[in-house]
Amino acid sequence: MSILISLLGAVPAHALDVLVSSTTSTQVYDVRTGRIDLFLHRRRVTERLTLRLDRVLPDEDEPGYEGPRMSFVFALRLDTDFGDSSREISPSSDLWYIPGFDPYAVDLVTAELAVRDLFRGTTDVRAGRLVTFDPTGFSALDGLELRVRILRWAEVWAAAGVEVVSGERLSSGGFEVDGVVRVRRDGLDPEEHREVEEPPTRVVVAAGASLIRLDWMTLDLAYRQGIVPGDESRTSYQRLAGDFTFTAGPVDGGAAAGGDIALGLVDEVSAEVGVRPIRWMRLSLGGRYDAPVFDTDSIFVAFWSEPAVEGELDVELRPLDRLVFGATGYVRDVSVFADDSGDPSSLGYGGAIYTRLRYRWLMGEVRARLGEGFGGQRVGVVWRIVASIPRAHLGLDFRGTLLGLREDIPPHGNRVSFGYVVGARYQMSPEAAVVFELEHNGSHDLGHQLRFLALLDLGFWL
Amino acid sequence: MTHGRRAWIAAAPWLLVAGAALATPTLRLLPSPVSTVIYPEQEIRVRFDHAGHLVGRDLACPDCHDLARTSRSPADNLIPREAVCARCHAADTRDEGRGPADAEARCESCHPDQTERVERTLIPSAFLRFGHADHDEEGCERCHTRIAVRGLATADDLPGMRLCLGCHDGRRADRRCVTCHISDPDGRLRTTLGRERLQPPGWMRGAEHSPTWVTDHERTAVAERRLCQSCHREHDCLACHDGNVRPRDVHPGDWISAHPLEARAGELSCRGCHRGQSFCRTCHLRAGVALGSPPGRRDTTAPVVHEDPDWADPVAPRHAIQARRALQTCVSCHAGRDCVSCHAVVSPHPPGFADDRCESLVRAGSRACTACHDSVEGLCE
Repeated sequence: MSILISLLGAVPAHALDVLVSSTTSTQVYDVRTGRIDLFLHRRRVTERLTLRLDRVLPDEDEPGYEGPRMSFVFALRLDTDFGDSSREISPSSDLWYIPGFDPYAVDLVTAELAVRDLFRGTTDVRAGRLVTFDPTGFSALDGLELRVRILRWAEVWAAAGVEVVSGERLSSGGFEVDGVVRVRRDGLDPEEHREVEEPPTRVVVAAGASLIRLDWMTLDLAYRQGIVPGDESRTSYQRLAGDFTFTAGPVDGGAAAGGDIALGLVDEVSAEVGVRPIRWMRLSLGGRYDAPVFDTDSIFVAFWSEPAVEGELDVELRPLDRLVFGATGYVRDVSVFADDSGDPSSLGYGGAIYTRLRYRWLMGEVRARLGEGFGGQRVGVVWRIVASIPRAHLGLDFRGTLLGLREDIPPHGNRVSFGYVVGARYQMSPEAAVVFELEHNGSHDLGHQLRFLALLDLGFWL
Repeated sequence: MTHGRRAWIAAAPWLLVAGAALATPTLRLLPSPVSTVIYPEQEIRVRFDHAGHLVGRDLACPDCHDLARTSRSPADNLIPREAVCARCHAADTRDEGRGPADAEARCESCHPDQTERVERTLIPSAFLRFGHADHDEEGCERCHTRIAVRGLATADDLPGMRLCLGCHDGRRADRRCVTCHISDPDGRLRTTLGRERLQPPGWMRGAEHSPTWVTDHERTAVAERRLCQSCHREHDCLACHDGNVRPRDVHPGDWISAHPLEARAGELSCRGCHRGQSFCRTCHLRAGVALGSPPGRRDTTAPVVHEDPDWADPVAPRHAIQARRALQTCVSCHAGRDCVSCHAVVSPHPPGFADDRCESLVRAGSRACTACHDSVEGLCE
């Protein structure tokens, strides 16, 4: 950070764009479920505060500037839950106490210093708390990433650092350690509360290569290894994955595959090919093989689990400029034997049809879908109407849901539920907007559930 | 006449109407060949015949569009003014009733159905960085390809991005997006243009933001990193992926009721955003549906989640089938130690495990092995 501050002090003020933005939301809602007689009141406040600096270097705002570009992004997230937290955090509340429950969690989401297009546009460097994605997945790490473009049409990259794990900073940590939940560990004895065990520090090294600048194809290869250092150093995972896409006239498609070298397991293979027989129609056919995979720290890695195999057919039509029709259908199979004792079939199928129409300040969307198999049936229609009224700085949003669920696994049950969301967004000024939403869901057995959301969006260029 | 032939004859008018409608640009039954976001809707209220002037009268484009050669902005008005037309067409603007015999001189010959007042033609500026002067050497028809056979020119006669990329290929001309598109201070494209949102076209390498984009964007995000970065940065992903507010395009209404079935069926790739043990289990612990939930949360009078009497049958346990089918749903409630209590003596390994994966797990230094086994020495033999 001190490096950044010194850099900022060394550059003219006019070459720096500073954006401070925040999204603050408060939600009040009920959670009910029929599986157990559960009713929870939730009162949450979440906040994401972001500072972004662009054009940090001198001359970046000059017309025709082609030198390196420096930027910095810093984001914090606050997630509080005032619902039943008073008794959930009190050890004296034997019936309700949740060890380690943190009702006021503040996370550092990202703190990234990036310099792009170094050395005549060939090199990008990012350092700090980074969000990364590549064919091996989506994750976050505290470290460094370097990307170098070579031979005009290729890019190689490498990254190293300490993984951000245990759900503390991102809800979407694709490489989190299984068996560790998001908790506050202060003052808790791990022997007594094994569920709050500290996740091991995991060092990650990753590298990859990509073909770039080819209009007709892309190819990405990535390798990522997670290592738990120490006296008994171990490899948590050792993933190798690739992704390929191509375009050849009206035909396009792609394929991806990934696996874990440490486990000797290929867990993901997929392919898709699409064709546009006419300009306003696209047909695509795809297939996927997907096996559950866990890292080697988890005992589930040694469990017997079957892969799913799926085929999918999609068609999308755009007969008008602003009108889309689409349909999709799939068949999915998990090769578990179906015995004679009434277990649900291993075969699942389903599909959806949808349409979207935009006309001037109105947008309407309808989606109907069916899913059958894997212990139940889901039938539903979702529709949405959005109206944007620029002169009034107002946006209106109405969503509706009609859902039919059939549960084949004990405890059996059928449910028909309806729901709607009524929302409005008012742009008070270019820098500030407020959103209000009311969601109402209801069904015969669960009664009514309400959610109220208020959201304030702020953004200031300083 | 056969029945089939009569059916064809009856259907023929409808097929003709449908064909004509599809072929008539004014009905707009086909998507515009160019972006209506880049080129906002025009209101053209003149009658004109480009083909008649270019071919019939042997004129060249600059004869009328004389300002084009020096234009450096798409905001420049390059439509010929009346004085330019008057070089050849002596318009009678005094009194229509006493006008000359030449029909071309009447107002309505160029301004149809506007006898009281000539309405203004509105051609909004394109949301581009562009200068005709910079493209002068190319010749007009290089970009306005069909103009010599067109009557009235519309937005359809403006060049689409595919045409631009024919020259802007990185060799003959710069192919970076910001060469032509308007950008923000950070170098990313400005995507809010007027009341519209700029989005990639359907032919652009799988990047079209169609109605299914919210669930289908993973592959494009990986394969087209540079393309995505024209408009987004990595941290932009967190606007949805940070989990502050449930994205309703992904999870529709009554999601709490529906999500167990959806997760079990694998309809959505839950793992794309959530980790079973840290995200799902944290909530399930609080909600009272996980094994380690506080007693106050768990209603002992309500049906238990696994009420099947054969669920843990020692001979033919029903839970084994469900676990093999969708182990991810198990780990959304259970920690490894829940399983160890039984599986320390009942092997959970698949057939062939000792030959296929045991060695590699031991070699990786797996902590999982010692959860049940005292030592990994000779474990795979």
